[in-house]
Amino acid sequence: MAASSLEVEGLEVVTRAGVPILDDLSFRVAEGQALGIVGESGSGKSVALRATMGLPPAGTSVRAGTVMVGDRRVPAGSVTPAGVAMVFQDSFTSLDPTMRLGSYLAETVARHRGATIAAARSRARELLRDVGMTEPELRMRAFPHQLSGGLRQRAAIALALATDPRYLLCDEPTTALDVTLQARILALLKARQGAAGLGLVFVSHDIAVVSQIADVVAVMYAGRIVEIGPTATVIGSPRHPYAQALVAALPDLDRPGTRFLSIAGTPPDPSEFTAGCRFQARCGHPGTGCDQPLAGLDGRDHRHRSDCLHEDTHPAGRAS
Amino acid sequence: MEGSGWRLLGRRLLQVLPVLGLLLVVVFALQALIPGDPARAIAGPRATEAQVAHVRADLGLDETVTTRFASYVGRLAGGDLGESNRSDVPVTQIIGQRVGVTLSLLLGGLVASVLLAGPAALVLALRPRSRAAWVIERVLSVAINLPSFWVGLMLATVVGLRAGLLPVGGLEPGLGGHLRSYLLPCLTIGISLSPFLARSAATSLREVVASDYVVTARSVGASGTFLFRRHLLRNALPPTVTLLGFQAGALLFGTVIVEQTFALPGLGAEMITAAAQRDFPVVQGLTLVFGLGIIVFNLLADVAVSVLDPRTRTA
Amino acid sequence: MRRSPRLVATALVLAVAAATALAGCGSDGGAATADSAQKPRRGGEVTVLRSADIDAWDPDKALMIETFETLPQVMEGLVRPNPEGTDVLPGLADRWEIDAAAKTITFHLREGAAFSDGSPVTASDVAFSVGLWRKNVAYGTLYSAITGTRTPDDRTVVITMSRPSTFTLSWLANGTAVVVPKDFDGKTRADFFKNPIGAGAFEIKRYVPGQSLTLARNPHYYDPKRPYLDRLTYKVVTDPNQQLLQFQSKQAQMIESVPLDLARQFSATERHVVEPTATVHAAFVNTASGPGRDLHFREAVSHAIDRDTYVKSVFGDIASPAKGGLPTGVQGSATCGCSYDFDLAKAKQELAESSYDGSPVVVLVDSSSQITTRGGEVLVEMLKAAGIKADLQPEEGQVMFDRYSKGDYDLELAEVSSVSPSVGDIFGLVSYMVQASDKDKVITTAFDKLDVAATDTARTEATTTAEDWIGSNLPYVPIANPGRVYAVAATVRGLAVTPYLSYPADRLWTR
Repeated sequence: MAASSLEVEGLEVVTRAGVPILDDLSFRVAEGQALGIVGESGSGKSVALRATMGLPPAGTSVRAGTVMVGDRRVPAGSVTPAGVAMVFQDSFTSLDPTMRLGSYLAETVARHRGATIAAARSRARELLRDVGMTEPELRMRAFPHQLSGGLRQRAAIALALATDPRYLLCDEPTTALDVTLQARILALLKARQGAAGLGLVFVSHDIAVVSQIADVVAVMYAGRIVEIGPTATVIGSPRHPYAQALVAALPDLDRPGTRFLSIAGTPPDPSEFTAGCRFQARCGHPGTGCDQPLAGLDGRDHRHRSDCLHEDTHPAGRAS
Repeated sequence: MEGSGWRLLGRRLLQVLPVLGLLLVVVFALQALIPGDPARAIAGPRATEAQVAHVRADLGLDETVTTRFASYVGRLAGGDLGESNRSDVPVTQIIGQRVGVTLSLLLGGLVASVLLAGPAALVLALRPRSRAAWVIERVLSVAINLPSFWVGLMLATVVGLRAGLLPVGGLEPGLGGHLRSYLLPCLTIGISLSPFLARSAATSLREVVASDYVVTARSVGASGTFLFRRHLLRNALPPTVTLLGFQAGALLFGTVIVEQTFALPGLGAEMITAAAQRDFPVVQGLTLVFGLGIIVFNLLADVAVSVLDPRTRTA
Repeated sequence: MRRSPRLVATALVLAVAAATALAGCGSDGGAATADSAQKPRRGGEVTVLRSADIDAWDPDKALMIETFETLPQVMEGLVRPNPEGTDVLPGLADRWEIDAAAKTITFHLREGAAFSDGSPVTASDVAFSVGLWRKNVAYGTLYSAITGTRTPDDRTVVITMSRPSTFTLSWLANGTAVVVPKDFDGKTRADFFKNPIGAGAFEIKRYVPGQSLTLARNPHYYDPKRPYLDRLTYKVVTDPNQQLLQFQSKQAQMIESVPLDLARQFSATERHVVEPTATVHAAFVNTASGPGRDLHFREAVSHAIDRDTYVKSVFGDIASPAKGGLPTGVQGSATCGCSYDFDLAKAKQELAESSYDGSPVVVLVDSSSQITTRGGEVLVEMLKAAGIKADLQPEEGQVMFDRYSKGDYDLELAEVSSVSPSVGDIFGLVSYMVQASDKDKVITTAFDKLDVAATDTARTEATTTAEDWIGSNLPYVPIANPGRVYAVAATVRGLAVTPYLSYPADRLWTR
């Protein structure tokens, strides 16, 4: 790897009962690059981010895996790797309601940089400006519940940036916002990506949102990456039936009257995961041999591939 | 405290006034509602009707209700709570003599219950599957059902009588004597109160530990005592403090039982005697004090919660 | 005399099987007085526990037993009761002469009688005090024989009476006939009685109303030998368990009126039983309205009660079945020929002859007293066996008293006690009670006879007349004469309790 990158290898996350949610998941994002991970809820995309941060969700534990940031490697799941920060989905619950924004930011900065309070506070103001907040002094004194949804999400991003990360993991940061705010946040993230050379891992169930920000898209289903590749390619000509269905479900603004297509059925529960293709039950093109063990794609390789044995038999591209 | 804080306090105090007014009316109405004629109680069984009437006039009970209420409120405004029907000692003096005991019991009891409930709640919330947590759960289930007079009696008998370590009851003079005399009673109150506190604190601690903002805080590097103190504790306390406010009444009247059990000369013990003897000035004065106490207690709890949780402050 | 729902209310009394067969009246068992051979030691302190404080130092307010017991320790009267409670001994007066013809008693104040501030007790102090007694709110009528006083000299007081009353002399040994300085030493009555001085064996060292009273030896007491104790502290402890604990942990050496169920916890040497006391436990009948108007009904009730069983179940045998309606064991006590026997057949017969219509009879008891509550339950059962349907209504002390005063009851279980060494104080109460029904004024006449009786025979004659009348007319149905238990540590000597529960604290000493 030429430029520095964040690399997660062989991530294995299980429930308390030992049922695997993620089994040998790997992915990579380079500095200044944006990797988008798309999938339904239950696909394991959020778990992957939390595990990378060393903060697996309650009831799960990381059994194996390593996280490499630049040339520093740590075992996954026990520590938060230096240089990585996370922005969470619901900014209302993810910010401590009893802390004023300024104090929270300043404390984090002070802890991270070992700075004085004064320096930390001035850096905090700077962060707020960076995320596009006007009247930073007012915002410094605000409590989370006093901010609107959009401002709160900016605050959450500012908090994540307070630790001077090189990589930012975003877990559905725009899901709770309306379209206009969504666009603004995405723009903000893109700006940071460009200006500070941040590497972004952007997780969402909404492939449309992901496509606006990601350079590389990975589609996850039932704990595995089933398709990966440059965004334009994956969106333009998806190969995996699931990816095809997702792309097909995008409303086409160019062709008014097209309906939202939804995919029938629900993803399997981790206790029902098979070694073979896990999308079989919902696949529109079932074929023979789909029970053969599949490994899921290695997300460190960004070339366009899909994890379907029959990808050649059904046409790539948008289903109409 | 910033400007909005004073406004909040001011507003809370204003809200208290109508409650106080209602309290005054209820307290005054007590003597009409409670059966038993205080004049007859004082005059005794051998008194003639004329003598009873004389006592009644002495006590001012022969005037109209409105006159009595007016003079009652009037004297109250001047800080005069009247005199005991039986001993003629001013009620304010009786209260002054005894309030120290009750306050000491309250504070000591609170401290004891926090000391007992705190570690228990921590273990229950942070190490829920440990053996210690299992034991604590069982102990709490038992403790919550123990009547406080029984607990007090057991403590007094085992620690006081058999082991001879502490007095079985009564208030010994001097600072050291006071401390020794309060130890078992406060422990009794603590044992009664701590199961509620422990469970509430454990529940809210568990919620906080599992909350998203703790994950965020950890993701930006908060850990150890800082994480505990600033994020966990600060967010877990408000519901328990609110519960404490609700328990104020129970706490106050728990001290009544403990004062009886340990023969401590506090307000509660006096209330029992005065009520049995229909000594209305004393009963009214004490009820007022108790009512005020509960109001103040809740006010303090409210203030504490609003300090801890900015979401409860109205901007 | 004490009408005492309150006595019963304050002493939590329950049945206990502590049978001590004591014969005679006024006897006190236990080791307390057994060693009269030993010489009392001077010095030491004793702490006594009681379940209620005195009413006040002002004798006008005396209602509780504790008041009658304590006031004379500080403010002694002209005379004192003897330890058996049957006669009077010299107090501040060391001798007296009764002139029956002139209807006077001439008291001679003894040398050295002085208040605790050193000033001598003079005749004018006594005269002033007598004036107070006569105006006593609750008991003034019992001093009614007194018309005035004369003070021929500083040490002589002549009490003039409207009749040659001997009862008055005995009555003067009651705890409210206290001698105080003339005009309250210049203070107001209220101020004086906040911290009074007297010529008794003790002076008040520290009094916290409702909590504790500490008495110290009166340095100017007329008897240089007594009191033996340097200090005597009365502590108010309402909880019986706490009383027991403090006694056992030696924080206290004596407990007054131990609840019967607790008496068991004391060893035989620590238990001092006063039996019988000058108390009558009875079912008072509403003779003004309801079934109680009918004598047959009252007879039925009386014969329905198995007093032996009652005494066992309710008092655990620390009581004797009543043989009369007036207190036993004090001066003038007598038995009557009447029988308060248990005869179910007779009860049913009387009931048939009465106007009782079968509707429930309201039995009022004090819910805060275990004795009357249990008594009520036992009584209801016994009445049921005789065919009387009874409705037991426990009420809180004051409420019960109110209902009784208003006549809102049919039967009420309560106790009356003497407060003096004479049966006369109860006598007076009874005559007041039966005003309406005693058309021939038998009781009043008998009391008048008792009042002026010069000999014991004359007294018992008068009492017997009254007892006979009570037995035939049953204004109330006597059931038992309860006993009382005092707890005394082995180190305390000299305790002698009269049947009306008074004891001279100046005779107490510790080993």
